Amino acid sequence: MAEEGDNSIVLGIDLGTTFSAMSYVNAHGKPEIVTNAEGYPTTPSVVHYYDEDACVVGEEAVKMVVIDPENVVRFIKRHMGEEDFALEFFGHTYTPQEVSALILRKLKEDAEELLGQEITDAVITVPAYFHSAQRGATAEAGEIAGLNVLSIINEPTAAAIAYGLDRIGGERKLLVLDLGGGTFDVTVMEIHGTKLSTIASDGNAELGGKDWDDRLLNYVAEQFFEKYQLDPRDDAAPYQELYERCLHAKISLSTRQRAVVPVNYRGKRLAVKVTRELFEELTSDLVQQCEDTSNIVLEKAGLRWDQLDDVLLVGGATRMPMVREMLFRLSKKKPSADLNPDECVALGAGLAGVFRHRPNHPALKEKRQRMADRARSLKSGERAPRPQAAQRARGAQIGLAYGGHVAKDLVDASGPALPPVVIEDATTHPLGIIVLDKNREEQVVELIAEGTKLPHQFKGRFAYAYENMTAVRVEVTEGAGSSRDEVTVIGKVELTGLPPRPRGTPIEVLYEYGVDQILNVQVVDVETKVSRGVDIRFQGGMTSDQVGDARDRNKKMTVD
Amino acid sequence: MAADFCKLVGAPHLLAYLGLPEDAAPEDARGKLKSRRKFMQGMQGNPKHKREALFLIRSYKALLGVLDDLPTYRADAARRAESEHLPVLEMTMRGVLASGGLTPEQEEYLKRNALDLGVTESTFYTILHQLAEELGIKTSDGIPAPKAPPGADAPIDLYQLLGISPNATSDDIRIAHELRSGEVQSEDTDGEVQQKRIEIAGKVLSNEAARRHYDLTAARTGPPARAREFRPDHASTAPPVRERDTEPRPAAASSGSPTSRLEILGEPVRSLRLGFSTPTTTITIRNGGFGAMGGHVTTDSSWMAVDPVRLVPDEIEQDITVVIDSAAVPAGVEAGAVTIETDRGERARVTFALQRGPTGWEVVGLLVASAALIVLVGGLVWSLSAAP
Repeated sequence: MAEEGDNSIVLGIDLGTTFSAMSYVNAHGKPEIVTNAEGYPTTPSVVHYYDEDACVVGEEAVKMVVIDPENVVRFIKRHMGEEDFALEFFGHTYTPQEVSALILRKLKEDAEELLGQEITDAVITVPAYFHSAQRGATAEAGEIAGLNVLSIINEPTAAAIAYGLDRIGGERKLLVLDLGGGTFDVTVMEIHGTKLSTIASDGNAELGGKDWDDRLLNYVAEQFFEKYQLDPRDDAAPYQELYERCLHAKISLSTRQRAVVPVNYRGKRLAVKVTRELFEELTSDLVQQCEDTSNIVLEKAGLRWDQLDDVLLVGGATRMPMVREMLFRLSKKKPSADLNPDECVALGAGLAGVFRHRPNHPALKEKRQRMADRARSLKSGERAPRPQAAQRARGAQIGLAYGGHVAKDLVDASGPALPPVVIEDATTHPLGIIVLDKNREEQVVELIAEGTKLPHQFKGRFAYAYENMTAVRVEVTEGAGSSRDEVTVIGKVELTGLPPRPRGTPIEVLYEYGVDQILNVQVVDVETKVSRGVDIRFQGGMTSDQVGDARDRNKKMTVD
Repeated sequence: MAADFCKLVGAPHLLAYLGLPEDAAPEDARGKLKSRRKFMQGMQGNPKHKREALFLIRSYKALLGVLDDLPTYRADAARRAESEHLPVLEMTMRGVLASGGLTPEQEEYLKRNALDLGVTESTFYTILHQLAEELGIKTSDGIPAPKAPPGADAPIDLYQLLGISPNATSDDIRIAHELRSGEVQSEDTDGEVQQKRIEIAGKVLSNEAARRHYDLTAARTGPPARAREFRPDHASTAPPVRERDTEPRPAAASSGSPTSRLEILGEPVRSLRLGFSTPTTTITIRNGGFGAMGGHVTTDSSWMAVDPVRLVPDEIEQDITVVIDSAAVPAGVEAGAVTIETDRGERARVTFALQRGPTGWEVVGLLVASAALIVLVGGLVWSLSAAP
């Protein structure tokens, strides 16, 4: 928790599959993108290990992919939270967390260089659909990189923060479609008075712009094969070169009607012409997947397309006309254009970091006053005058309380008339408990359903399954399903040293799931009042020792 | 783990995947695996190779462990092959038995196939007896009696049973099976038996691997009148001399002078696996008559070569080497034949039913009957386990 008066910078980081970006909130309370050492607002999430203890991250690493493909890592985000995934460079093994940590370190060091001060605190975003192991792995990556990860927040939530602050006051329903390089999610959010809440969310962690690139690449490679019976996909370096070319062709097809992909492989040359029409045909099922997911989310939210007030596009892949057209066809609304799809997540992360962890940020004071005025006028039913500047600024004109922290301050500062401004997140995976049923067989009981708004509490009574039990074990599960194999056990609480009592003795279990994505589990013995609790922080699969070792290794590594 | 991996990449076994011979040293194998992994690390995002790349990265440690102890891997692979192939083999045997019995040729063929697949001889006979009992087929010496005793009904063919041709597609089989099952009533014992047979026919013919085995087994109908002799040692019995496909023609004007008689040792239909098993095989012919046997050997396919082309007249027994150029076999071709014609006008044909190597099955195997893939992999694993 932030100390009083600690107003050091909180870096808001969008750690993406293909690109990463970062922001901070400046002295005027505005979020600003921090450019990297090369001067660009986004940094490719690519790492090139060029020696045992040296690597390069970003644009320079992308260049090396055609020379040294075996030692270049891309798309590592797709493997976050996978236990058995490890890469090997120069005889050392690296987990996805360690690879991501190098990207984070590059961002951190570049920001320190640009802003001229040491930065340790950060907020990192993850796709809404990430499960706990993936979230945990992201936090571990931050820790390895030497960052103090204050919180992990959902990308659509961050995007909505960046988008939605000056729209607070009315009642708006918002759909956020986030199609990044490697992940996809759709979230329906609601701005109700001063509350921004997630109503429903769904997605696919295995769908992103990369899949569009692959379709184009497959097509081009097949054309080449047809002519020369040679497949450039079979060689690592020519494949990477072709991939780069397809990527650029895809980007230019978003603004042009046709593009040419030149292939030069084993002395044979071919220029493959691709029209936008053909490209859309090659990828029509991918767009269909996006459409289906959007419909499902809307259905989950209990809304129709015409009930939406705004559609927000996040992620570079949403620049493709086919995605925009699909969304326009469904919603009959032009997507909100005042945010850069590459930057809004990072901006929102920076804002969330300040609102949530820097309640005494000086720039917030003025804003607080303005917010209080506006809130009061809202309360009295007047239409709040919208400041002219607010419409142009990236959402920072009205401060926003995240998780209720600022709201409490506001109440203290301006009397009881102020309504709290809060953001509600929702769970994306059900949480449950393993119990024994009547036949004493294990069964998973869902305690917190998917889509439950946070913070949320569950209190339930369970009972001894056997006579004279002296210890109770509660196993906390994540995921849908009724048997142990279908879910993941993410934590355990044991209550020991209880006096032996008959079958049926009551035990109370309390789940408290906060906005900071930490689940507190309390187990209480009702008769003796003995209780025990545990905070379950989502684990990414590395023990604290392993994280420590990785951190030491990371420190020794030169990143440039 | 290793088996799953091989299935995914369509390799018969780990060493073949690494491009090494079956008796490769563990150090070589480990080195190969390491460099393969390194290469695949650069292929992670490659849409064509990423499945293999990711699987290899994830199971690298486990695979290294497997290579550390190759003898155990070989033994495990053989055991797994047995357990994987038993169901298919059992189904085939059920199909053949449902046709009424088993000729010695068929038994021999099935047994050899079973051994090829890594099933032990004792397991084979246990299953055979169980199935015979289950199907109510009389056994004399514990072995099911041959089908079609003299004068009795013609042997029942599973295809005839369903009223379809042997070229029927899997859809035809499914429909025919449904129709036939509806037709036959199980009012009496005969009906019940018939119903059971139809059920078996449907099952066997709709399983691609079992169907192929059945086809090859059914082609082995022995001489109808030949009674089965009790042979305590099944394995050591030499294959009987084939007569069916030799069609002796009357010699032109040779009364009085001694004549030759062409005999082929072994089966008229043989299966040959392309790609990894030896693409070279031999046909042994014997002169069963008294005169000299001249003649020539021809093939019906350009990708098949024979040596010698002319028979040596004075030899009593001679070998003809058949060499197959696997790479030149066109897709879709399933058999090739070698014809031996003597100067006297006798002709004999030996047909080789081709079985494709794993590359051919890679595509089909993932989508179509995994059982078909299993059979292929199994055959390879057997050859691996038999290696010294």
